[in-house]
Order: sequence, then C-alpha cells, then structure tokens
Amino acid sequence: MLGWFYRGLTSRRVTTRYPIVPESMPEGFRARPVVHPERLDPEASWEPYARACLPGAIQVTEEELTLDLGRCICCGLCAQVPGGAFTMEPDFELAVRNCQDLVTVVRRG
Amino acid sequence: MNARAIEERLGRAPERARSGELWLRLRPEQLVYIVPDLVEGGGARFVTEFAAELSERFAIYVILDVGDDYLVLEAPLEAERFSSLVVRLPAAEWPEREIRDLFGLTPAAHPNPTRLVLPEGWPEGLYPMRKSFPREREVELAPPERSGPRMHEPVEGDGIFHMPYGPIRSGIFESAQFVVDTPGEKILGLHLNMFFKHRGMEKIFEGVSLEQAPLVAERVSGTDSFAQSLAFCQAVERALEIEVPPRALHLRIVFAELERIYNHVDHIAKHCEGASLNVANARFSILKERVLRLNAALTGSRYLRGVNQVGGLRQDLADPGVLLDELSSLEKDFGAETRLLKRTDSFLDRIITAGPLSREDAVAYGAVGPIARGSGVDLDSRRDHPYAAYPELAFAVATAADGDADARFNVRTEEIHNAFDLIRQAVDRMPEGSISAEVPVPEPGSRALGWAEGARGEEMYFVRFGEKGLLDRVKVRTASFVNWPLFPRTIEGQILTDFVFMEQSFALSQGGCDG
Ligand code: SF4
Repeated sequence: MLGWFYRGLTSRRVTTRYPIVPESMPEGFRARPVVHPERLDPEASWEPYARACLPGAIQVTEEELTLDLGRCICCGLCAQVPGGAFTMEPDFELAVRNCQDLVTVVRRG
Repeated sequence: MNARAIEERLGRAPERARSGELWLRLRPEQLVYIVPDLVEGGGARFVTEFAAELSERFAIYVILDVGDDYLVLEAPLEAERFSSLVVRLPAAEWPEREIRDLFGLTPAAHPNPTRLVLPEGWPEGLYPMRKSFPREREVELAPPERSGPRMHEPVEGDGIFHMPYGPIRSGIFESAQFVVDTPGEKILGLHLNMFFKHRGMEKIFEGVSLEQAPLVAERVSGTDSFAQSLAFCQAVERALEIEVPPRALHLRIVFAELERIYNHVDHIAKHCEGASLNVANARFSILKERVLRLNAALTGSRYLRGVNQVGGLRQDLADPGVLLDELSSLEKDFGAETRLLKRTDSFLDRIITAGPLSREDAVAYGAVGPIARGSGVDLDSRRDHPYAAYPELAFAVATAADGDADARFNVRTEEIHNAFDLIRQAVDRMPEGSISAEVPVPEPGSRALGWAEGARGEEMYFVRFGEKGLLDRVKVRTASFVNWPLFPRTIEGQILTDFVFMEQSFALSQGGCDG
C-alpha cells in the first residue's frame, strides 16, 4: 500500500485545464464531417454522398442535401467520395443544446 | 486431427476449401453422432452451430476446430427441425436456442428449448432471420405475461432467496441481469439473462455494400472493433480470393495488438478499482488513455474504427517513430506499475482463488481467449490458425494452470508484454508497398470463414454471398458469446463479496454477446 501512496505523491498532474485551455486533437482525428456547399456540383447528382453514408446521416432529395450529425458514426467515407464536398475535421466539440442544431441543410442553386 | 484422420474416422474425406478450412456435407441426422465423435474421440473443439436459409431450404452448419484447420459441417434440412447436440455437447445450448429463435427451426430433444435472444412479448411464429422477414419491419411487442426475472432451475430451500442484479447497474452502460440464488453470502446458483439489447447485427449485414460492411462489424462489439472488422474482412478476402498486400498484413498486427493492450490494461484498472486501490486504478487508467490517444494519432480513431477495409487498410502508418517512442515509454511504465501491483497483498488476496474455472469446464464449453488459457487450455488462433503476418513473427502463448482470477490476470499481463514485442517486430519487418488490394465482384454462392484472436479470444465470422454478389448470410460468433455461459459455473460456491472480481476477470463484452 505504501508503494502506491508514494507513487501517487510523485505523480504529476495529468488532468488539463480544458475547457479554459482548448485541447487539440491529432491531425486526421475524425470527429466532425463538414459539408462545403461551394464544392457541391449544382449540375451533378448528390446521391453518391448519401449512398456512402451507412447510418443515413446524409440524406439527399432533388432539391437539398441534409447532414445530421446526430446519426453520424465518424467513419469518414463521405470524405472519400469523388467531388470532395465533405471533409473530416478533428473538432470534437459536437454538443449542442438543441438537436436540430446538429442538422445542416444545403439547397440547390 | 488432420484431413486424413478425419477421413479415417468418418470414412469420407472432407474437401479443402482453402488453407485452414475444410468442408464436409452431411445429412442432418448424421450430425448427432459425427459431431460428438469428432469432439470426444478426435479432440476437436466445438466452435459454433448456426443456420442459414439457402434458396429453397434451410441448412445447419457446425464449425469445429480440428487442430490445423477449421472444419465446417454442412447439413441441408428437409424439414424445419434438426436433432439437438446439447445432450453430449453443452456448448451447443446457446447456439441451438438462437437458431430456434431467429430461424424457427426446432432443435429436437433440446433440454431447455426456451427463448434466448428474442425479447419477451415478441410474437410467436415470427422469425427475424428468415428472408421473408424484411429488414425494415417493425414489430410490436406484447406486454410481458409474468413478472419477475427469468430463472432456469433455481435452487430452492429454506431461507434461500433470489436476488436479481441488473439489467441496469451503476457504472455499466450495457445490460445484463444476474439472478443469484443465495441464503445470504454464499452463491448457490446464478442465472444469466442476457440479450436485452439484441440489435440483429447479422440481419443488418445482409445487403450492405462491402465498403460499408466492416463498419457494421466494428459495431458488433465496440472495444473489439479492430478484431471484429479484421475477422470479417478476412472472411470476405478468403471467399473472394483477394491477396492482401504484405504491408497491410503487418499493419494489421500493429493495430490488433494495440487493441489487445488497451483492453487488457483496462481490465487491470477495473480489478484495482474493485480492490479499492484508487491510485493503482488511476495509473492503469492513464496508461489505457495513452494507448487510446496513440490510436487516435495513428488512425484518427481512438477505438481503431474505420481502419480496416476489405482488401487491406484505409490508412497507412505515416511515421512509425511516433509509435515506437510511445510504445517503449508505455512498456516501461506498464512494467513498473505491474511489478508493484504483483507485490500488493490487498490486491492479490482478492483475486487468488476467486472465480475458479476448471480445465474440464473450459474444454466442455469450448472456452476461448484468456479465460481458456488461464485454465490451462493452450489455444490461440494467432498461432494455431495463423493469419495476417503472424506466421512470420515469433511469440509465445501465455497460459496459466490455476483457472482463477489471478491466473487470468497473469495471462493478460504476459499478453501485454508479448503485444509490445509483436508490434515492434511487425514494424521492423514492415515491407514498403501498397496497403490495399482490388476487390472483385463476388461470385454468388462463394463463402468462407474468417477469424481473429481479439482481446477476449477467437472472433469467428462466416460469410456467404448471394445473388447479385450481395452479402446473403453473415454469421458472427464472438468470444463473449462462447464465454458467458461459463460464468455461472465459476461463481457457484463463491461469495457475493467477490462478485466484482469474478465478473471483471471474465472481462466480456455485452454488446458482442447480444449481437
Ligand atoms: S462520416 Fe460516415 S457516418 Fe458521418 S456523415 Fe460521413 S459517411 Fe455518414
């Protein structure tokens, strides 16, 4: 027991000052898919993005594309669709007060 | 046993489907004597039994581990019933009840033919794994008819009461219910009620594209994500004869062993928590967190999800230097903490003799992973049925004889040390080159097994492709599904105070069991 007592005493602090001091995640950490509307080709079909998404977080109709972070599993497959309208960002602070705020809608035109 | 020995026993030669995998077609009534004969007489290990719906009929499959190979026995059924193997093979109890629930095939002469997987209130005569049951269908559950927990053959007597523990418990997100028969402190009997959160993972696979299917496998059991996706991808790669590039085979070792390390370290931290060693708990938890952060830095995912894909990997290792530096620091710190823990009496007193599992039970129930190895059963699919780059690497399989929580603890600490070494070997020998191969269009009817030794033991997948090259049947048999039925056997005669140690030393996944 004494051994653990000393070990506890000599440990440095491992907790950080988050959220006062921001925590950065490694580059390439897949936390948030972001849709870049300017990269969505208005002439082409947006279906491939919806097809890439297993849990149905991306829904596409004739007029619009919806991204619902509430359904996203951060797999990053949308970011591999040719056309590149989606990227994965390491920003992990996804919490919102209202689940509607998790939804992004992009309209055609 | 090899293919020759099987032929001598059965009078018929199994067909070699590919390396490590033999197939033999039988009539259903032959299973009842051939399977127990191969197990009892030939020393084969019962891996699992499952059903599939072929175009016009159902078929029962039994997978056996016959030494160097896995043997799949296939028996197409004429009717919607088959003879139960349970009387001679207790390990078949859960698989056969699962077949009954999900396919509506009756295991004749099963000693306990009751519902296992489906919830109470699920309508009779509705079998969700049949092709006639659409994936999207929603089912209204009837209110349960009786109150109180489910118990099979409870211990009755003066002063004995039945104490339900769970399914909702503090600090544990997953749901399992343990009903303890006890006069106070001694545990006389334990009933396991699982499958509260059965998600129908096998059904979810059907029709999913091969790009997306590994994501489904990862979710079978969150803390075994890499082992699950590896076993699944290997099954598909074997079925489609995909040659995975050597670099990917080595990278898979790196990630599989990182997953083993964080799981085993977490298990030790939980043990320390149970023994109220708060400093030790904190320090092992810090080590676990460091491995998760290393995972995130290497792959973008703390739990190594989205890394495997059919044909290889989605991501390469950018800079092995980061990995090797952190690895040696982790190994040094882990060694120091473990040495101290192994000298801490208040810890050892709790785990030595707790939750003993006899070698006979481990063999009879087909236990896998550290639970089997802790009871002296020397099996490890990395060595016995080698895959990825394991055949090229040198490693020892850790075993212990005593079968108690201490034995399992020692097996796991040794496996952590071996894992560090395996990662270094894999990085040292890592060839340059591509990390993924092309995936051809699947032939309808092609099928194969795939497996991986995860932190909890052998994770076994069977895949079969149907018309249009879509996934038609995926059987998932996790290590947790095999090992859970042994838990009541380790606990009878023990005391309630030690319950946490017994549960933690099993360290099984609930999601992986529920499926
Ligand atoms: S990251 Fe995966 S789950 Fe999330 S939106 Fe993209 S494809 Fe869908």
